[in-house]
Amino acid sequence: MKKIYTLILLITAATAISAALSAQPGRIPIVFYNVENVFDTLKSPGVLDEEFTPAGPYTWNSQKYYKKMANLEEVFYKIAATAQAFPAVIGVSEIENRNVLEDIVALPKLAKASYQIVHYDSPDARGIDVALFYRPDVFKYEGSAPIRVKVEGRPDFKTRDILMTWGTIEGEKFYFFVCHWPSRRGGSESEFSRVSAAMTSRRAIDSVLAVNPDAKIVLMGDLNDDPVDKSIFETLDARGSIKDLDKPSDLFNPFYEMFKKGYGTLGYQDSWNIFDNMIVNQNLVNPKAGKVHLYKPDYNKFWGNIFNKPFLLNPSGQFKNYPYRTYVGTNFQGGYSDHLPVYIYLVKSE
Amino acid sequence: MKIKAAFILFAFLALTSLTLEAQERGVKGKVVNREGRVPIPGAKITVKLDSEIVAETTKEGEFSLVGIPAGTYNITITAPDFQPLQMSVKIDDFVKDINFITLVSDAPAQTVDAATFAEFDTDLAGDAQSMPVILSSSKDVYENIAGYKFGAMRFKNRGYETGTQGIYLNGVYFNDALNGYSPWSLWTGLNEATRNQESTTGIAISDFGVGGVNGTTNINARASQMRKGYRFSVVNATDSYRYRIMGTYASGEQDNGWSYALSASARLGGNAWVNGLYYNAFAYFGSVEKKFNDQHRLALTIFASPTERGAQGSSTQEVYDMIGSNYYNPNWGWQDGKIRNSRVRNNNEPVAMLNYFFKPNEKLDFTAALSYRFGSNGYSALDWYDAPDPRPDYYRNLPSYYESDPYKAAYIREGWLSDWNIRQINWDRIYNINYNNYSTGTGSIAGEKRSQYVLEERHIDQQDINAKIQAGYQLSDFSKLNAGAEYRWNTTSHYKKMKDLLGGEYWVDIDKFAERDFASGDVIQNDLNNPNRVIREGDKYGYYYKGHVRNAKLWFTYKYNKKNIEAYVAGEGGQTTFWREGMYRKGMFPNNSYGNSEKLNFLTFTAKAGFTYKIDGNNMVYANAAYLQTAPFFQESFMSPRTRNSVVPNLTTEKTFSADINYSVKLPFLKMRVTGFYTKIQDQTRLISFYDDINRSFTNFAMSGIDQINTGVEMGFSVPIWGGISAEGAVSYGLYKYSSNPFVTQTVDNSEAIILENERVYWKDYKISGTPQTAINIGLDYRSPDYLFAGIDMSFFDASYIDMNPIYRTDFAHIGLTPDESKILSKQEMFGSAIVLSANIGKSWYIFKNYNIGFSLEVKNLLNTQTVKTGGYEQMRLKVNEDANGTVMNYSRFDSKYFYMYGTTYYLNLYFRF
Amino acid sequence: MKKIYISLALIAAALLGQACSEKFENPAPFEPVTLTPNITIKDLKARYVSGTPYEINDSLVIGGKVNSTDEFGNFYRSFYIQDATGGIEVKIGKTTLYNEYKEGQTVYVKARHLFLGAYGGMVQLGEKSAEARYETSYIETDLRIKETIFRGATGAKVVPAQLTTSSDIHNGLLGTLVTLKNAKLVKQNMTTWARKATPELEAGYGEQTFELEGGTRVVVRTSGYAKFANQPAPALYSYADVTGVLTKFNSTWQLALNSLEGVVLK
Repeated sequence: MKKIYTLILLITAATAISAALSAQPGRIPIVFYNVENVFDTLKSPGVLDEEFTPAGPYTWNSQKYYKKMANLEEVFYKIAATAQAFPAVIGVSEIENRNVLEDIVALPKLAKASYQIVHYDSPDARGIDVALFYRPDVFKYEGSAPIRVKVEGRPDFKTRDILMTWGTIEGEKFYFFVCHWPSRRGGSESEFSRVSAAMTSRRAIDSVLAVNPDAKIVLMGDLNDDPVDKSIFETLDARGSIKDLDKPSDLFNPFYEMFKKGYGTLGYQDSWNIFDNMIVNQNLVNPKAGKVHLYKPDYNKFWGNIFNKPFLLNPSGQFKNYPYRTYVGTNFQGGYSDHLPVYIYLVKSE
Repeated sequence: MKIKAAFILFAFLALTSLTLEAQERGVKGKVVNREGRVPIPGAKITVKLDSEIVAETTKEGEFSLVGIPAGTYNITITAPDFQPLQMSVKIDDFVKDINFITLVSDAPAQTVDAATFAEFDTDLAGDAQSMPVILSSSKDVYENIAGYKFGAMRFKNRGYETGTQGIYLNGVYFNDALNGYSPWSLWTGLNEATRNQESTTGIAISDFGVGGVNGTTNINARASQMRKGYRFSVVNATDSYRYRIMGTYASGEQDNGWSYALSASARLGGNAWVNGLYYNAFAYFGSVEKKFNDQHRLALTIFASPTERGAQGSSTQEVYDMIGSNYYNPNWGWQDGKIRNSRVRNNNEPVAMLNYFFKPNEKLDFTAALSYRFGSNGYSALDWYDAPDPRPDYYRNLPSYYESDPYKAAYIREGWLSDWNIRQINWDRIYNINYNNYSTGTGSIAGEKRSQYVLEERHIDQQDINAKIQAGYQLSDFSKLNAGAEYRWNTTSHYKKMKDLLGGEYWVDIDKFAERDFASGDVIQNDLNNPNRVIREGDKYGYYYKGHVRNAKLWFTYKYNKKNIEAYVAGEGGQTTFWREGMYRKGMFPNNSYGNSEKLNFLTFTAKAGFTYKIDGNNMVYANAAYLQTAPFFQESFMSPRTRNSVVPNLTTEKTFSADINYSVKLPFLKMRVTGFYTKIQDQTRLISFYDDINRSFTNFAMSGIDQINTGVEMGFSVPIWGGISAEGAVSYGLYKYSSNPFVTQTVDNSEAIILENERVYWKDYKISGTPQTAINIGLDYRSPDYLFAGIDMSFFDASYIDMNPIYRTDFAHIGLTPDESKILSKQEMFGSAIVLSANIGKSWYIFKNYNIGFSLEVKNLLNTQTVKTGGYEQMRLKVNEDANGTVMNYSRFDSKYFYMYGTTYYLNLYFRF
Repeated sequence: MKKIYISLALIAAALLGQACSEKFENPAPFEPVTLTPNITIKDLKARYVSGTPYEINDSLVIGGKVNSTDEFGNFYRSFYIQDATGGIEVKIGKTTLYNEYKEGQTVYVKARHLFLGAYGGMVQLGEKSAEARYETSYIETDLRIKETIFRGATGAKVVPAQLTTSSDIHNGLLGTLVTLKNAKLVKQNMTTWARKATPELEAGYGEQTFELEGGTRVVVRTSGYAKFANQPAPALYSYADVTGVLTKFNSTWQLALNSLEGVVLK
């Protein structure tokens, strides 16, 4: 009997101490990064991933895979160093499967953060998925589910599921949505597919808030549209200014202002696009709603951040200053990604 | 019986188990820990179906759950001392292998403290958001339109001479060493191999050097820089060559570090407007590159564009009107039922280059390059001796020569219209005169036919070596220093080669003008070391000298880029030395022609600074200023380089000052750049050589102290309208004029007799020729999502001026003229304005995902306007007007010569890539 | 697969490389023309009436051998042809005529609409003159020359008529090639045949007056543009055989040398 009591005491103490230790004051970075086609080098049955095998046109072999892994390690580590804290939640898109995610979280410099993985196989033809990493000491995981995106009038349209993950940070309920909306292949006619994805996202957010109006929502992802485009600005109704938010279901996109000011996460025909967005609901900007809110250092003009450090950009050549990619066509460049990472800070006020 | 039963039972069981095996679905994997991937035995895997299925991992951490129907399931994995893990698995028709599943230890999380990121010397401001960087992978709207659409009018950007734009090949400055001209002809026909280009505009510096005032373009023609894959294209066109086929293959960088690329093309045939113009041109390119590791890289590139092409000559408006076509070409005649052009360019100038890159760490980078350019560059022309002038449009063969005799003028006109041998070169007559010339003059060979007419080929054969090293050091996240040292060694042989004796058997190498004046003696020899040399086909003759140019320079550029400010300073200093080496001892100048001339040395330098203020990510204002002191060119520095070592008097460096201010905006609904610039160039020199009728001699006209001002505004914009349609346009509005009255000294080529000494050329405020000073283009472009593009555009050109004959503005030429007549002699013609309409359309298709096939069709000058002058020059001749007694009263102009824009032409390109 | 494509491309390039520069066949040698003269040079000259340029309205054809050359610069823009009856100057108007009209070559002239005129008493065949001061002008234009002057077969040079005494000279010999035999140089206006142009001084005609036995004087007049202009003339009172084209200026007999080969000193 005594032994059991001691054990319970020790465990409680340990939990309390670890809880105390992990609840550091300071910033909580939330990151999203489209990592550009991270496939493993093996052929997976049932998906069209032959391109990314050693025999395929990309000659995607172990040498290149480890280089990619090292680059991902460098990016996430440098973001952490910039924020002076390992990101609490990282959303990624364009990863093939869980194997790849396991390799990422095992990277030596990231191991300290002990990331856990949330992932579901998606119906996408090429097999790329979205996923979420979280630090178990900051985010208390409760559950997750993939949300199927339905496109009106196109029952056979296959695209990435939206990953919904919920849990608590500092005791407050959070819902994270990681998206990778349909691509722009097909030009302006493809808009309808992203509008459908926006509609799915909007419904999901609304249904969460209907049950729990205090929930804090963060929707992130490669939306393949700019903050001013119909899908984000109208269908999802993510607004550009905090002043425009009244109720918990109103959404704020900190990257709207940045886009208007010429910032970007993706370069195309000598212009910047912001396809990678991170959108929060009013509960994260309303000082009366709980203690954890969106945070902006005084020296920054915007609530959102784009990680556009020089090492992520081409240093020279015809495409100087464009994101330094892993591949250009089937030509291996050894770079990072054609997208830049985006992040926001949360902070717990006293 | 028992055995039989047992056998049947066994078989049944075996079959059943087999069937069961084939239908098995499930999931298997290996549970390990996060650090080191050490297997975790005894971990529990739970799958929720109707009931719970539980499995345990083996000693190796492996587990296998089979017999699970297809579907998506939540799996929980637990193990002592580890955090539980939940994951989802989708099971199909097989046993899915999910490989490693890592569990995170249950121990308290390590705190993230300062030591974690100790290697980063970041203060809190390290996460300040950086401004977006400027993307310019292709030229902006203005540059594109100015470079391409304005080209139809021979537009010169900002009114500058062609050589002012710095052209670099793999980082090596490649403009011609003797005259600064752009070296495009070296790689003409190698479009695919030279597609990877980076450009700067105006005064801005480049990554490879300080540059000048008219921008730079660097061509990355190396194996690793070329698009991977195969590209083939076939072109049919009517504006220059008729056919072109091109094939290219680039391997891209392979895993073993090697990359290689090959390209070849052929361009053949002529255009639809001018007879005698043709291409017989080929091009080859090969490059191989090896990346040794992340630090070292070496590339070898070799290419050549052996080109033969027929040239177009211009003529006077009188001739064009008489024939009824502005595309008359006086350079050709009928021979053997075919069009034979007397002016043919024949170039074969291969280039070989070695490039080495070394990047020891993130902050430092080194490049080294060595290039060698050699080969032959020849341009043929008719030469004749004591025989009728073969040029069909020689002024005495024109009706205007018989102004006072309408009867003869009518005969001239009738001859032109009825007889090809009068209208064009009469090869028949030329050959027949040669067939029958058994000369007895100096140097003749009895019994052999001495050519009165020959086809000479004037050669400028270069040997050009460039050596360059460059280092770049990233001083900090926001400043970079580049520095370089370059050395250029150039020796160019100038000579004439006997290309075709045109039916004769020999030519004698003597100076025909000297012989006319002096009959005989040493003075008539072109080479005293080889008097009266008999010339056969292939021999050098006439003149032979070498130009030696040595050029050394050091430069640096410093760039600063922080928050919304970008700035740079750059400097370059160098020395240019050149001299002439005569290979013939000219009879007229026995002591001043053979051997080396004096060595001319010039110190050169360039200073530049620029500043950019980014108002925000979309708007920025930037300004540049530069001051350059450049050496005169070899070709302008010797009085008569074909005959002697004499140097042009008052030779000095050119001084250029230039400044520009720019504003650019990039919004989703408008992209625009506006620029204002001002440039002043002083102390230029120019040498014109021509046959002077009045003095009946070949003369040299040396001008010095030529100053000019180029100033203006340019603007380019692009506005998306709706769907895939956008409107684009560019405007260039400039004032380019001379700002001084230069001095001129005219000497007789083969006697040094001075005709004019330090005369003034009164052309201050006259305009710079050769480009429209107003150029506007506006167009609509459509791009569809399925790779269809179409466009139509209209250009307006105005204020293009004729190339002046300086003599018309000297006091000497105005002797005896009334004020009205003076005005006529001095007036500089301005060409009329022009409106040109063009359109293009193209589409490409992707077959089997990887194969791309497409076409593009461009039609220029849709309105088929044939009256647009694109260029022209006043002839270097003065008409002598005598009275009844033969006394000279005064001088007047000769008719000017013009080039016209072709009527409608098209360019159709079919391509196939994969 | 790759190798096949590369090889194909290279082969194609090589094949095209074979399509080198065009070769042009040498033109055929000129075919001499043969026409039949229907009037003699003497009769043609006789049609001219002093003081008025005479337009030839009939389809008259004359033929003769070329006896002058401008190769050495003493003749300019015209040549003389002679048949059995006499010689006439054809004012063709082109320079370097020796290239196409060789000494001894037969030349025919279709004289219709050409003009006869006189200069200093010498009848010339030329084009209508647009100026009052000259009775004929040069034929000059290529098309007109094509219509009027025809090149026949080349042949041996004309054998000059030998003039030994004054009585051998007569007007019928005008325009023909003659040799003054054993003529004595009695007067000269310079010691060279003529004077070439210098930067200071214009070119000047040289006049070497030779006397035939019997006292008739013939002035050998040489242009300052002749190649042999600055060559020394014979010494005064020396004797020489002088061959050239016989002309007349008003009442003075003149001789135009083709070259110095026509002067043989005695």
